[in-house]
Amino acid sequence: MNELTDEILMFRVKSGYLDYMADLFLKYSNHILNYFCYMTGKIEDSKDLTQDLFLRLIKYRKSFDPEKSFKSWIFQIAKNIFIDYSKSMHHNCAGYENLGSIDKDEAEKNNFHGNDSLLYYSISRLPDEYRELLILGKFHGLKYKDLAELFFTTESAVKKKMLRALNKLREIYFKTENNSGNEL
Amino acid sequence: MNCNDIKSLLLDYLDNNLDKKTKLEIEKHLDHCKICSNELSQIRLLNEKISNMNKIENPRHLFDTFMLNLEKEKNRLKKWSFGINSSSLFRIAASILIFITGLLTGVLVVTGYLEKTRIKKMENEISSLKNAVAITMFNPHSTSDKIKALTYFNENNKVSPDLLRSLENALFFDDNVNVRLAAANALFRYRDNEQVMELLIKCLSSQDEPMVQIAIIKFLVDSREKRAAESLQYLIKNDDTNIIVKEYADQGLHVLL
Repeated sequence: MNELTDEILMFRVKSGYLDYMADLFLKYSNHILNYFCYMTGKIEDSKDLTQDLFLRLIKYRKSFDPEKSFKSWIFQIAKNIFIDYSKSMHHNCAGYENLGSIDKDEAEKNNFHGNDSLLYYSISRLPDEYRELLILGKFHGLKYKDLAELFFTTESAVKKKMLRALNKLREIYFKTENNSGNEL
Repeated sequence: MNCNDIKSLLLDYLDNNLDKKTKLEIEKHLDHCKICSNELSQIRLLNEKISNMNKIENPRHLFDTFMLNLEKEKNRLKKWSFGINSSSLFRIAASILIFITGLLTGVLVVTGYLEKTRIKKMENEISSLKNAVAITMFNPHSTSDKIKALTYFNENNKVSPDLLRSLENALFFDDNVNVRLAAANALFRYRDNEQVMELLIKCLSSQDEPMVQIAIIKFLVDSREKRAAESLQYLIKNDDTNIIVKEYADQGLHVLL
């Protein structure tokens, strides 16, 4: 079983053997769920988005290119789904300004923050593109090569952007830490 | 290296992506630059924190729902492929046939097969035509060659004034009946040409050979040439006209009027 790469599995799905999608679901659904959770801050919505994503994988299976990495393909689609989602959210409730901010109550209920709520707060304050890059690169561990494929750019451009994202996060994180320290 | 150079290399340094020399240089800088070493430790901390962020576990029903969706999708796929087999088979076969025909034509055109055969045929025709013309030019008294030459005038040829003049000469003045007849036959091809029709009508009254007269009458009547009526009446009235020709002219007159 170990010899079957994700690309081979997806290629079989593409050729009409839809059952192999179940393997890919078992392997990736958790990654995808977490990606959506960190991007939207809504756990219930993220479950729906995850289902939606795997349906899209089946629907658009013909467009999969086995020469390219499956990981960057699946996150590419996840990215598109997130964009659609945030558009619809903006449309549905005008004034919902900070879409990415993680809903505090919901997060606490689900033990989303764990023991480092400062980090989650800081991440939720980041612009979407920085948050996305950090989540994909540092949390899901995508390689620069995959990220470059995913964002249609070069590895060096991704590296530069990653550094900017980290610096932005650093700024928010340590500023907040100092402030809250003073307040306490 | 200044601080800015170091900062741009920090990520690669953390990922251990640098060669030994650059790595040493950075470490040397970090030893005495507090700002940079502070930045590095902060980034390192955040990197670690992010990679250790809580993972949300999949709820159990997520997979069940997915499997249901997958079954639905599979059924849809089955239905779809069945639809192709029963109803569109004929259409698919037809399109394949058309495709193959197109391909074959394409291959023939590309290899120039059709062109080559056509050109060869045309070359043959031209050479025989030249031959015939040459014969009539050098051997004006040979009747059979004249006739042969006349039959070579291709239908595709346009009526050039030269051609018309030579046909007129043959029709009016040639000694041999058969040559005149052949010239008339050659002229019959240009049914749409006004000049030719006038020529034939004029010829009808001056012609004295019954065979040629009958051929022309038949042709003019067939093409419903009303202007021929006068010449036909002249033929009927003229005492010198052959009886059979008169009969033909009479019949033709009835048809025309």
